[in-house]
Amino acid sequence: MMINFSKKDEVEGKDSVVSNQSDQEIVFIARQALSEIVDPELGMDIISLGLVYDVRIESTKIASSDNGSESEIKTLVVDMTLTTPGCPVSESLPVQASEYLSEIFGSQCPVRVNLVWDPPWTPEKMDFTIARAMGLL
Amino acid sequence: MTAKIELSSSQNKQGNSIGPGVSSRTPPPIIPFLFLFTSLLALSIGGILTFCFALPITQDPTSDKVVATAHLYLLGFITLAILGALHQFIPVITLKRLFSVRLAYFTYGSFLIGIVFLLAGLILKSEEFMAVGGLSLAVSILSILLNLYNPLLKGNKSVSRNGLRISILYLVVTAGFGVTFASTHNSYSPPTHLVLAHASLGLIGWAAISYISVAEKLWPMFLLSHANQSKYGLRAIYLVAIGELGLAIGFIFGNKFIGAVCAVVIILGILSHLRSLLNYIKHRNRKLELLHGYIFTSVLFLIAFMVVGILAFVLKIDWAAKEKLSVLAVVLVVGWLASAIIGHLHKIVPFIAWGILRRAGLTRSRNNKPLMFANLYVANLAKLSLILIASGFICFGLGVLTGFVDVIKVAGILISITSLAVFLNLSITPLSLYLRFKSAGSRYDLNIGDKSLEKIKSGEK
Repeated sequence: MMINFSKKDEVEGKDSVVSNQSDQEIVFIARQALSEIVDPELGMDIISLGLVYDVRIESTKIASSDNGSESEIKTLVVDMTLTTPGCPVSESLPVQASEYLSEIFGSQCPVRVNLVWDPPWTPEKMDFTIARAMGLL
Repeated sequence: MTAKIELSSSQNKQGNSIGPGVSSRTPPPIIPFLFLFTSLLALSIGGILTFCFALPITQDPTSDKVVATAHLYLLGFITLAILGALHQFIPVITLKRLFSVRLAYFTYGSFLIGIVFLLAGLILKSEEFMAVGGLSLAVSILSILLNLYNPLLKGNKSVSRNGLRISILYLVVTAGFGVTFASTHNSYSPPTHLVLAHASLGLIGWAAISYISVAEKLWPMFLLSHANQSKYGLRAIYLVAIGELGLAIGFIFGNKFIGAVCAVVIILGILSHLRSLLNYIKHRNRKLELLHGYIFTSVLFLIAFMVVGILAFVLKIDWAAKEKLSVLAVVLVVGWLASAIIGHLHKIVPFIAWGILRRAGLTRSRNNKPLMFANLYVANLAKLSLILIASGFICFGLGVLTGFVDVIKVAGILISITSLAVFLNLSITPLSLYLRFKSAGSRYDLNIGDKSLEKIKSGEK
């Protein structure tokens, strides 16, 4: 099951980075940004924890009602999971991710964070060295 | 795998952001904080009363002064702490709001008034004070029933929810006995078997089942344990609940056979609770830490309680010795719950404080790193608190067992100092962070990591 976290209220006055950057660059920047979201209990960011399964750009074509021409809307999509289902601490992470990415990418690129449970998170999804150092493996 | 998490976890009813980590279902943080911090102060005062009443504790444990001390531990500390956790976690567990936030304030106020008058009545031997205290506590407990039972009846099914539904009913029954005793205190001295029924209902039916229920929710989260072991937790709750019902009936009707059989059922329930803990530890995905030190310490008290309970039942000893073992059993139960509660407070309070600070815009610690729970208390003081609280209750138990008044006095000092230290540790660090943040005139800062927003936006590595 997927649960969508999307930022409803876009931040005004922020420059979009979408219009002049490729999809690959956006994904790269998004992953960098997600590495700034830190689990306050474990002290590790969600990329290092292996919670982010996928970051991609999805394009949707929308027909304009005025002249019949089609325009393309790009959405930044993040699939992520949590270390423990039902934990209020970890549940805050997708919300933070959604808010932060929306702040960065502005109103021209909607952000959608999908919370997924399949496959479930295990410490093996982390960087082995970091996980061992933290006593997680 | 299915799960239900709402987008509104960062928004309130009006759709306004209330910050990450805060559900719109949870009450304002001031509510759990009022209960939790007051419980620590009550524990500190409990330590002072233990120091002051060390002599009657060893010589006349059924005296009003000792009863007052016991009620301060059980109502002022344990019950308030559990209620603080329940007001925070029942909306999380059940995905339902409290019946009323205002009612939660009323519960707190009336409970506090009730404790103060009850203790004053016992110590000053004033039946009027006791009647006011008993009535106030009864009203408070009815408000708990209304406020917490609403989400418990309608909310998501879980082991914790089932357990809490049972434990709150036990609280109501315990209060029924208590109010009756309080209102007729000077004219009627309740027989010992009814007092024992009242005590076991409060200690095991209410406090123990509540803790076991909450632990079944918290342990998998704190240990990152994914294995499905709810059967052990559920078994523990039902065995303890059924056993306690029989034990109370055995006490009330003076039936030793029923009491003995049901005591065995309670022990089986506690063993299932320990099995549940063992499995969570076995399947954990993180290393053990401070909290687990508290939990393991609490388990030692729990095991000691079971041993003392069995000895009190089995040994052919005189009434005075049985009374001594009964007091020791109560001390060990309080030691079990005190160690566990203080350990969990070091998780719960920083989590709530973290949410408050983030909403205020404070996202970084003093060393300019992202704000962590570990930044919100002094770890070494928390470790010292574990040693001191364990030492306090060990001294208390030894003092009761040996009859050494001075040992109990030392216990009182240790318990009082430790609870104050925990209170200060959990409150001053986040408060000082907040005050420094405010005085610096900081604005909401999106730079939640080491890189600035502008650097990330420009794609700088």
